[in-house]
This record gives sequence, C-alpha cells and structure tokens, in this order.
Amino acid sequence: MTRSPPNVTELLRNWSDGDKQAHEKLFQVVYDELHRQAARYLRTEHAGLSLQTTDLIHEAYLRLSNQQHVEWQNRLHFFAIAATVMRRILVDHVRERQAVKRGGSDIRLPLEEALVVLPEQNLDFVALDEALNRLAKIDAQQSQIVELRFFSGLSVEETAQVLGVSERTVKRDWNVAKAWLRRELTRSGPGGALA
Amino acid sequence: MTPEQWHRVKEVFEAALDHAPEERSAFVDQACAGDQGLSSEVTSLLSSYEQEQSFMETPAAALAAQSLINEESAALVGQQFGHYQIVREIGRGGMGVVYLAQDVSLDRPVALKLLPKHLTSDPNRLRRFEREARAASALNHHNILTIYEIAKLDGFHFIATEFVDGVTLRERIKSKNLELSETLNIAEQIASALVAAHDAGIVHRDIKPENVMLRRDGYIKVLDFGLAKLTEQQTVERVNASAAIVGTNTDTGVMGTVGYMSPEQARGESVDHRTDIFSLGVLIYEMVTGLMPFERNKVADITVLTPELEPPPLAQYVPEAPAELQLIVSKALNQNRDERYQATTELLTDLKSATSKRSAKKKFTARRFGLLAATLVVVVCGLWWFYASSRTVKSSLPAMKVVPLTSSAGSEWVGGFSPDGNQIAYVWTDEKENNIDVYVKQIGVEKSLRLTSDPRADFCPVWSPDGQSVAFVRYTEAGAAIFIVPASGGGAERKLLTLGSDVPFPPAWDWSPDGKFIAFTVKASKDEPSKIFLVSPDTLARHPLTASAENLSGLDYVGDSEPVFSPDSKSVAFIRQSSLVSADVYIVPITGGEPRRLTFENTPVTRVAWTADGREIIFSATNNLFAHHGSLWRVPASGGAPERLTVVGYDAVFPSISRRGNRLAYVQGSGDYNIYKIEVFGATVSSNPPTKLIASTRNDVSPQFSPDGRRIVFGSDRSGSPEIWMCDSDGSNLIQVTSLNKAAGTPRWSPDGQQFAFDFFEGRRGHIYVTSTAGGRPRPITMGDFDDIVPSWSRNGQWIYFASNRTGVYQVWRVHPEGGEAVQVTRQGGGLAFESFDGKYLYYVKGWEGPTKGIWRVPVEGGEEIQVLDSFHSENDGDWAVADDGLYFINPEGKDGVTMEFFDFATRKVRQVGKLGKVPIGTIGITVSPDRRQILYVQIDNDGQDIMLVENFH
Repeated sequence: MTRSPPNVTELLRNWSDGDKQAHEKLFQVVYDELHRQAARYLRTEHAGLSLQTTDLIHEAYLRLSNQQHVEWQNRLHFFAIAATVMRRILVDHVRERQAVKRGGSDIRLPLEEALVVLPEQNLDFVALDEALNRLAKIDAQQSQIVELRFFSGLSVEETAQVLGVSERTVKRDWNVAKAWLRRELTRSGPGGALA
Repeated sequence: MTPEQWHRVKEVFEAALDHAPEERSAFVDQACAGDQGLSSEVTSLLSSYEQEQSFMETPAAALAAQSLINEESAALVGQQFGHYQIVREIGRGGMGVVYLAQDVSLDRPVALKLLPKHLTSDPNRLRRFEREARAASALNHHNILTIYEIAKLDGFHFIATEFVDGVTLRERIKSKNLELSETLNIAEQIASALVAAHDAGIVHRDIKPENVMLRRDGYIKVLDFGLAKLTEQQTVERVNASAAIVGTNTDTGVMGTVGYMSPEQARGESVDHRTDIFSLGVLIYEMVTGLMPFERNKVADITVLTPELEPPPLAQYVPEAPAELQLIVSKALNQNRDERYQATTELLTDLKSATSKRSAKKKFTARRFGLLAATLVVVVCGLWWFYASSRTVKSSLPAMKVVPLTSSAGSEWVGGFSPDGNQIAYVWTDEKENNIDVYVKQIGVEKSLRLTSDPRADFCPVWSPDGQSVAFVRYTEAGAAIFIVPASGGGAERKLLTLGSDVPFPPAWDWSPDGKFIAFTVKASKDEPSKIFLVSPDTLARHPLTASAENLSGLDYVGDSEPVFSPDSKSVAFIRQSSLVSADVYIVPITGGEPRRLTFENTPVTRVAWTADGREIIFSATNNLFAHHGSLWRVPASGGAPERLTVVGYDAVFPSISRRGNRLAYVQGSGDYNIYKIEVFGATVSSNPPTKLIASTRNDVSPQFSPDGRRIVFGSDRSGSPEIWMCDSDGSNLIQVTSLNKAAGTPRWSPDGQQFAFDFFEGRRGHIYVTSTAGGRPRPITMGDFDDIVPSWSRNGQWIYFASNRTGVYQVWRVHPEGGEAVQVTRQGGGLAFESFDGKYLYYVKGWEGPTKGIWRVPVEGGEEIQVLDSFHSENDGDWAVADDGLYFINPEGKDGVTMEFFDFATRKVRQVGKLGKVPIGTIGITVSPDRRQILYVQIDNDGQDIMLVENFH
C-alpha cells in the first residue's frame, strides 16, 4: 500500500501562517504516525529504561519531514503539536479500554494494559485529561507546559525553547501546575482518583 | 477563579517555595495580608506540592510502557516452552524480551529472546532474519553471540543463544568509570566482530550499547546480528533521501536507534557496512565522554543529521583523550559515508594502534610484578622501610632547597611537623631494625629525642593540635589505640582512645588542627572496603565519614584510607583504592556527603598532604611499585591536572607540610635492584660469590634465560617506565623489546624462543600480552576487569599459564597463545605456575600464609594437587625455578642469611647452593641456565630511606 506523503513541512508552514485547516491535517498526520510508533515502542522497547518520548517524536518527525533542513520555528511547532497528540493518544486508549471493559469484550487493544493503571502512581489519565482542560481555561500556558513535560517528556530547557519562555518560568509553572493537578485529582471521585 | 486571581495565587505559591517548608505557612499569612481566599488556596496547593514531589515526573508514555512490560514479563516466568524452562527476565533488547532459561534436555542455561508477534508476521522477513542470524553465528567469532536455535514454539518465535554472564555495555557506560584503555579494548572487540561479519557480507544495522554484552571474563559479545532484518523495509520500498517513507508498511520504521543511526539510515536509504562503522563511532564517542555525539537538545537539534554538524571534540569533555582516538571517531562519524572508513579492518587497525600509542601521554604508571607485590600496595607504607643501608641525596633547585634531615642507619617514617614547624615527629626502626619507636627531631639539631621505647611497634606519630604532645598508634589487645606522650620527652604515655580491632594496617590517621576530630580508617570485614571514620577525642562519639563507592566493586576494591585534615579542619583528603594497584585522591567535607574525586590517575597513591593555604594537595604516587619509585605531585584542591614536584627526586613518599607552609618533609629511599649471577654446578654448593650481571641506576628484575640459554629477557625501568628488555647471556647486546610507557613485567619465553609473554598494567588492571622477540606490537591475550598476571608457557607451547583473580581469588588459569577463552586450572588458589621439564606437572605457589603455603603441583592433565615444598617463603613468591630433578629457590632466612637453596625431588631434602646479598621481596624471579651452571637473581644495592626536608617550600 502506498499513499502520497503528507508534506509536514508545508503544513507546518501554513499553520504558522495562520491556516486553521493545516493544523487539523497536521494533527491527524502526526497522530497517525505517533500512534503507530507508540504502539511499536510500547510493544518492543524497554520502557522504563530506554523509551524516550522525545526519541519517538523525533523519529516521527524524521519520517514525516522530507527535508534535512527544516526551519527552527517549524521544529518547535512540531513539538508543540506532538505534545498534544501524545496526550490524545494516551487518553484515547484509556477510554477505548474502558469501553471494551464495559462491553465485556475480551479483545486486546494494543495499548490497553499499559494505559489503564499506572501502578507507580495509580494515575488516572482520563481524570488528568479533564483536570488539564480545566487548567487550560485558567492558564493556557501552564496546561501546555504540562503537555510538553508530561506527555512529550521534554526537559525544562526544551519546554522553554518550544514555548519561547525562560526556563525559570517553566520550572515555576510546572511546580504549581503539578500541585494544582494533584489536588484536583485527589478531590475528584470517591476516595479520589489517586489511591 | 479568574486568570487574574490565579496569577496572584501563582505568585504567592512560587515565592513560598523559595522559603524552607517550615517557614512557608508564616510567609503565606504575611503575603496574603488577610485575603482568606488567597491564603487557603495557596496553602492547599503547597500541601499538595509537599506531599508528593515525584508526581508526574515520569513521562506518561514511559509509565504506560513500563506497566505493560511488567505485566507481560511476569506472566511468562516459570512457564516452559518446548525444552526451555523460563527462569527469569534478564533484559530487554531492541526487539523483544530476553529471559534466562534452562534447556532441560541439554541441561544448560540459555538466553531466550521472544520475538514480538508483530515482528514475526511476515514470513519473508522472518526468513531473511533467520538466514542472516545463522550466518553471523556460523562465523564462530568469539565476539559474536552464538545462536543455538531459532524456532517457533507454542506460537512464539524465539531465539535461543548462549547465555552471557555479564552486563550490557549500556550498564557499563552508566557506571561511569570506563577508562580509555577499556574503551579501546571494547571498541577493538566490537570492530573485530564487525570485520568478520562484514567480510561475510552481513551488516548489523543496529550497533548500540544495548546490543553489546561484556562477559565477566572480559570478552565482548555483539548480539542481535540479523535482527534488523525483521523490521527492514523491502528493497523495492526503499526510498532515497528525497522521497517520503511514510505509509509503506505499518510496522516498518526508520530502522536502528535514534542517536546511533547513520545519516543514510535515518533517511531510510539503503545501508551497507559503513552504517555499522558510523554506529560504532557513536558508541566509542559515548564510551569516552559519556555523551552522545549528536545529542544535545532534541528540540533544538532535531536536524542532528545535517551534514555540516560535527560533534564537539572528545577533548572538550575528556582532556586526556588521545589525538589518535579523536581521528578515529571523526573518521567513523563522518556524515558522508564515502568519507568514512571504507573498510572495517582499517578502523580496527587504527584502534589497535591507538591502544599501543596512547599510554605515552599518561603521566603516571602503575607497576606490579606479581601477587605479593600486589599485597604490598596495601601495606606499602608498612613494609618498605624495613630495609636499611645508606642513601643518596638527589636533585635540588635554587628556589627550594632540599636538605637531609636524618641519615641514620635503619629507616625512618615521617609523622609530621609540630605546629611551629620546627620539629618533626617520626618513627625509626633503630639500627638493628628491632623496634619501631617514635622520635622527635628538632630541625638544625643533630640528635633526635626518643619518645617511646615500648617493645611493641609504635606507628604514625601525629602532633597534638596544641603542639605539646605527640600521639601515635600502638596495637594493643583491644586493637589499635592512640597513645599520647609529651613532646618534650620523659613524660608518661597515656592512652587517648582505642580505635578498635578493625583498623587495617598501616593505621594512618590524623588529628584535625582545631582538635575536634580524629580521622582514621576502619575495615569492618575482609569483604568490605575500608572507610574513613571520625571520632571526637572528647566525647569518643564516632561515625563513618565515607561510604563504599557505588561505582566500585570487586574483592580487590580496597577502600578508603590515609585521611588528612585540611588546614581549616573542614575537609579531609584521603585515598580511595579501587584495586590493588589503583588509587586516587578524594576530598570530603567533615560534614559528610559524596567525596569529590581529585585525581584520575589510577595509580598507587600512598599519602597526601595539604599546603598551608589549603589550596593544593601534595601526594606521593608510586609509579614503580617494586622499587618504591614514588615521586611527589601537586594538584589544586579545587581540581586540575597534577604536576610533578620536580625539586624532589624519585623514590619520594610521605609528604608532610608545616603549618606555615614553608617546609615540606618527605621520605626518600633509593633502592636499586640489579640482576646478579651465581655460578653453580648443578645442585652442588657454589663457593664463588655472586657477581653483578645486568645493572643500571634504575631497577632490573625478573630475568629469564631463553630456552637455548643464549639470551636473557628481563624487566627494567631504566627507560623511565617498566619495560621488557633483552640481552645476550653475558649481558651484552642490550635491546629494549617493549615501549608501552606503562608497566610491563615478568617476561617469559615461548619454548621456541620466538615470543615472550608478559603482564602489562594499564589503569586498574593487569593483563597478559604476547610479543615477538623480533619486535612488533604486543598483542593482548587476556582482558577484562580483573588482574591477569605472571604468565608462563607450557613446554609444548600450546598454553600460557597465568594467575588471575577473575573468580575472586587468585587461581592459575591457562589460555591459548592466540587468545580465546581462558580455562581455570587450580581450584584452591594458586599462581606463578611453571610446567615441569617433561610437561607432565604444573608447579605453582599457593597459600600466601598458613599451612597450605608453599609450592604445589598438579598433573597437567588434571588430578590431585600435592604440596611439594612447605618451607618456601611466600614473601619471595617469585624466587624459585623448576629443574628436572628439583626446585631452586631463595630462602631469605637461611642459616647463612639469604641463601639460594635446592629442593631435591628424589630425597625431598633441601640443601644450600649459595650465599646471596640482600634480595627484595615480591615476585621478582630467578632463572636457571639450561646447563645448570648459572642462576640469575635480583639483589638490592643502595637500599634505605631517610627523611628529607625542602626549605623555602612554595
């Protein structure tokens, strides 16, 4: 099967020029690619040790961009999109899994086991996603920092570059956002979403 | 909440974080100035923040994958697939989980890699993988993992391979103490595997640290040849740089691992062997610097593969990285594959040449001639001064003036300056070397004042902080204890405190200038590294100051010792000995914490001293252990490159600096080991005195006659570093055989007289090397993170025996002269082996103390070992030689002093064959000419040491 390649660079350029449609297309392309790769990685790579979300995004980018010389701005945009996409991928899968569970089906989804319960922290992705939406309404930048740090796995320095803010700002916003989210998750639901 | 309110909450929250947790509440009250809503919001966030700081710090995808893998893995353990019983998970490679399994039919352990289903769904790719994996395994190369079986069982595709007992290179790199020599060694072995594979037309495509195993015996195994075939795209699907690679196949991707991929591989182009060369280049770069050459910031540098990008030079991170290695890395990492190494053999050749050249740049050398000498490092400050005689004073420079402070017969040991800098406390063995006591010397006054006369030995004198007394260590029934005696003499001794029975020898210790603490060394058990402890002389409360280093291990990780307080009493400098021949200087604040490593020389360091301003550390590093050829070095306490203190000559140890800083005292010895010849007639008594045969102003040791008796090979440091030398049997026609600039020793001829085996010390470890008598580059026969020492050839030339501590204790091992796997020969300890003339028995030394000590033998074909000679002195463990009817050996305590003796196999009697002069202890070696007319041995000329003083030190 072959299909004509989406020109990511072009889409990125259009998007930064204010083309809303370009953003949607881009999102879809990146989503498909990351989704495929995430599935591959989760199945094959040694997660706790060597899985780097940034590697994954990096690889997706290499595959999606045909050029070796891509403008700096485009790379930053790409990471910003990828962070949102990563969030969607992970949260969608939890929802899928929950739906399957309710339907009593025994179908194994590619990521299901991975994404439902995170044993380390018993973190509920769906609740986190909703809390993050609420945070975005009060402070959009903070919500974006969480996406980049947590869902894309970017460092403080990298996050600062993508957003064009100082590292100090990222550190501070990250701290307060974590405190806020943790509190929100503890409050939600009986006994809280956090065990 | 409005964005404005939220902004205010954030402000107060952030400001509160700058305060200590216990102060935050008060701060919030103040900052909110009565705004209850704000205050409660911030307080609630702070409480949430303080409860769990690790919250969300692990990226989501990693959490998810971790969870998935843990579940899968747990489900398989204990299950049986065909004839494989899964024991436990041992790792995860690029493409699948690896388990340790037991092959129940062959009763052997195997590594079982289960391939994920989505990778094995395409039969064509599976076939290509199998073909390539089998082809690589069939090369039978010792650096390529052997595959036992590739099959499908219970629906799972799996690969069963040899089980490698070791760690991945990834783990090794993480532990962060890879030395350049080891890096080169590992790189060479990987390159060697790649040469074999590339010659057979096999490209690995995924060379990375996870795919390289380091076996415990030092062998490198490259894993997963062929596996890349499983994810490879069809040839027809391959695309060039300008085409897209999206959507060709859902499972395919850019093969390889980001960071190790060659640019052409990242672009999805077809690859050849030069992609492996690139990946190996990345790997070498990472081993040297700990960093990826192209990895900086993935967001900023996502175009890592642009051709113009060059990684920072190695020297930017590792100043001592040799230029040859930089050239190798640059050439391997060229973005354009036509500019890279075109053949892997070229890369291998360059790596080998870098190995032999690289040592020239190192400043220090470590040296050991054998087992006992190794033990000597541990107790070097305890043993070396037992030798007495005259001494010679060496060099001086105009600015600083070196003057002898003591010159008595017997040996002295510096204990330090009085606070006013005018007196020195030291210990002296007395003329007859009978009793070790504490003395005080007033500078400029001829006669010393004796402070102690107890029949027990008194060690390590240190002035009390008030300058009124001298404290020293004496071993009592309760263990080592610090005693104190008035410095003016004549006063009564009193015990200050007991250090305990777990204080190793030498009991080097120090008293902080402010008087508050005493630092000393504790070795709690044989198996634990020693640690520095602090004890308060007032309250006697004690606590450990250092802990065992996480990155060091092994039975010969000796630990920390020789603590010395900084002039401000706030820090302690000490020595951390990572192996028997390897130590470095560290500094730790007295409040504790992780010690800071100050030197990176991996050489025997014996003692440190602070300069008066606390800005520099002077330390003595022994570059030539058997002869105590230490010299003094200075290094900034804040870090930097050590410089040799040239005003002081060689053989300088135990530096001590006065509080005003203008005087430096040290001990200078000037041992000179020379090779002597004693004429014998078989096993009959020789009446001729020994004569000097091979001599230099430096040390000449370990002589061995060639099999035809016409030449002699020996070790000498006359060129500056211990090297192998060769001459005719009359001492003429001298040739330097090696120029390794490190420490080569105990040379042994091959039976055909064409080659030598010797041990070579570089960095922490010693290994066996072989070189041709005609010259050429020596090649390593053994490798690994342990010591292989004192080789000897079997009579048929098929084996080289050597001693190795690879099992934790020294045993005799043997290995083919061409390399390959070493085979353990002895089981109950042993070393320094020689085969009997008929090649039937192996004689060796074992049991360095206790009833098992002596020379033993075991049939070469295997069998029971028996003790041959129990009266052998293990201090002179190298000083024996096998003849067809008996053993020659040196008895340092013979009835006529030091004697050459002969043990007759037939009569089991020992008789004296000659009287010798003073011989050194250690694995020095003797040799008997094939006609049994001459025995060569090593004698000490000019041994002795005295305290020297550098006036106007600065």
